[in-house]
Amino acid sequence: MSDDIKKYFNGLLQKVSGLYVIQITDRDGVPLLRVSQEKNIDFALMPSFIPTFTTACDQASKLGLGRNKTIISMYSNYQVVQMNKLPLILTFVGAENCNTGHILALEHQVDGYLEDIKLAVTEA
Amino acid sequence: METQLEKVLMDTAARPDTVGALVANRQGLCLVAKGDIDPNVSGIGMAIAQQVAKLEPNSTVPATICLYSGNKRCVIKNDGRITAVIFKQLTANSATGN
Amino acid sequence: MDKEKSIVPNQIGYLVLKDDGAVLESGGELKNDEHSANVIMGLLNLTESIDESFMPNSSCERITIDYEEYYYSICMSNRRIYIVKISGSQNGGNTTTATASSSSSNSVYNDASDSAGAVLA
Repeated sequence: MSDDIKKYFNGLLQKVSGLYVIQITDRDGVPLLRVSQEKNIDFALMPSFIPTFTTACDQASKLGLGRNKTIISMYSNYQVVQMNKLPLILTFVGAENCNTGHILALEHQVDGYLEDIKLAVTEA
Repeated sequence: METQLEKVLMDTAARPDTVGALVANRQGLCLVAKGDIDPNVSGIGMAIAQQVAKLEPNSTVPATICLYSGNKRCVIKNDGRITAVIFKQLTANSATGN
Repeated sequence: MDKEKSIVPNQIGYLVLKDDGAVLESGGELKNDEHSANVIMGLLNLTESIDESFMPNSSCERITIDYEEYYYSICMSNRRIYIVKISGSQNGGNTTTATASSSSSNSVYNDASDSAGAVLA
């Protein structure tokens, strides 16, 4: 299964110009799948911002607007889009001028593929 | 603030054969959508416009892109700042005119 | 242009690609234009999934790209991608008049696919 899924996510990475990394982790930040462009970002930082997202997401859910689904963070050189798909967390890292709308639209497309990974996580 | 934009889109979406219309900003995020169109289309619409812009980088006037599928059309135009996407579906009447 | 094949009247250039993006034939202004071929393959990749509920995935059979003085017509047939650059404008670059233009482009498309198919047959 993982080859198929990896291929699919690599295809997505090529489709969205300026997208550097797609990462799927569980809510503790344990990486389940990662695809990235040659031009890498500093992976040393990645483990820390997954738990941070989980915390931010939990806090944002307390605003009285319902459950938080997505957090988009803009930086001077990067943008990070994180989606809460518990038990999974989907993280996209791209250039600051990358097409945010396109990344958000991927959410519905990847659902089918995530189901397989979700199964694997819940079984474990 | 966006009333002008809403008005323009309302007019566009009310045109014959038009199913829906939206405009997206530079980040591919939907500003306004009217009619039967998924706001999520803004991202892919802008991605298509950006891809086409690579075809003739020296062209001063942006291109109009039209995708055809049966009696349906998807028209995309980008002026560098905003992107418009219009969904059209030809009714039997106008289709016979083809 | 006399030894170039003519697919449609007023053509400026043409490309015929395999479905993997390899250039099979080319001529006119698009002769050996790998750049345009790559851009258009990228475009086709993007148009596969626009909105499942409006256009089924991969159902898009034709694309036109209109500039002021010329336009590109791209169509898919028989696992080949035909790209023709044609002089003349279809709709003056106004998105809202696209319905009117689509009828004229339709006839161009038919010409293009018929004669292109005939030449290759």
